[in-house]
Amino acid sequence: QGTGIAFGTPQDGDQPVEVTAEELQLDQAAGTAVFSGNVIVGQGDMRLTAPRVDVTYMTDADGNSTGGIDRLHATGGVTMTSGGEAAEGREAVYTVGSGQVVMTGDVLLTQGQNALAGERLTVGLDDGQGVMEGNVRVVFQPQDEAAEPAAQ
Amino acid sequence: MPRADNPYSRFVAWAKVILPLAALALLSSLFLLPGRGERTAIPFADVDIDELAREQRLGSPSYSGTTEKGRDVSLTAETARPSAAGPGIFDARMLTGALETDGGQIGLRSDGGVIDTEADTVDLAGNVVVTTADGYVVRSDRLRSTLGQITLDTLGPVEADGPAGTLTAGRMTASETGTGNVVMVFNEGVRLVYLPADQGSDPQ
Repeated sequence: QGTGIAFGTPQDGDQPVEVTAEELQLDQAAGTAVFSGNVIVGQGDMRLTAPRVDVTYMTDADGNSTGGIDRLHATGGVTMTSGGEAAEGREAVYTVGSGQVVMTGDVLLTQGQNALAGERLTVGLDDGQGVMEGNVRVVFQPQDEAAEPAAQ
Repeated sequence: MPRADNPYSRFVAWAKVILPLAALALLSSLFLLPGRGERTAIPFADVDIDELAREQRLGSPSYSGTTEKGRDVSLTAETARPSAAGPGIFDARMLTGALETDGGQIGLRSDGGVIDTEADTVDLAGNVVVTTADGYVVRSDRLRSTLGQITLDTLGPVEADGPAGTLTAGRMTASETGTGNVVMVFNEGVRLVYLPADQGSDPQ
């Protein structure tokens, strides 16, 4: 089971997704688009930064692309911030349609003073809920008025 | 000649007058009547002949060849005229072109351009549009492309829209990789905006 946490404020999944990068490579034959060079993916108040993001298009049944982005696959060390929370991990897959981000590879989530580490963080941007899985470790800052961690 | 007293001579006298007149009428109808039927103007192009001769302008010239990788390249223009810049260099108007690649065809279109047949390059200028097979339409002011092996370079800002959304970039270059596949690279600051709304994605 995973530890449920709040991540950022719920946001509408239909907001425009903006991607800025130093370079974009379009390979017609392979049907791929690759952003590279400090790529920033933004939607609403979610920001996801990574050195490389691969775009996979939506495809219909027999595999030719029907236009539209299906998933953004960020690799090479990803940080995601939304509102006050920030999460870091090796890779992240952002499925634009469902507004879900799955971050994997020793993920570290920081919320104010507290930190939550685990192997895999799944965040639903639409409802602002996240689930951390894979030997989850919670790090408290032992201060006298430390806020209760939001773990349910 | 004394007056004829018998009908036959009178008949001959009249015939000598009537018959030539009839012949004359018949002959003149040959020229007058047939002309009235189909009076069609002889079709001829009212192009300014000496202007054409002076400028040696080519009407809808087309250039086609194959690249080193055996991809065929074709380029047509509405008009092209030799430019003073040198031999084998043409100023062309209203160009359209097509480059064959692995992933389908790349279409080029522009208002004007300079074709250098020696160096095998084409410098397109004036709302250049590049269309790719997977649905990207790239617009820029200029585009330099070499025809020997396919390379494209917009040398300047470019905007494009396609499956991944609409994007702007400082520059776009495209080149043929080893296997003859063409990869388009946008650089000098890429910014893309994708609207999931109009893709009918299913918001939770």
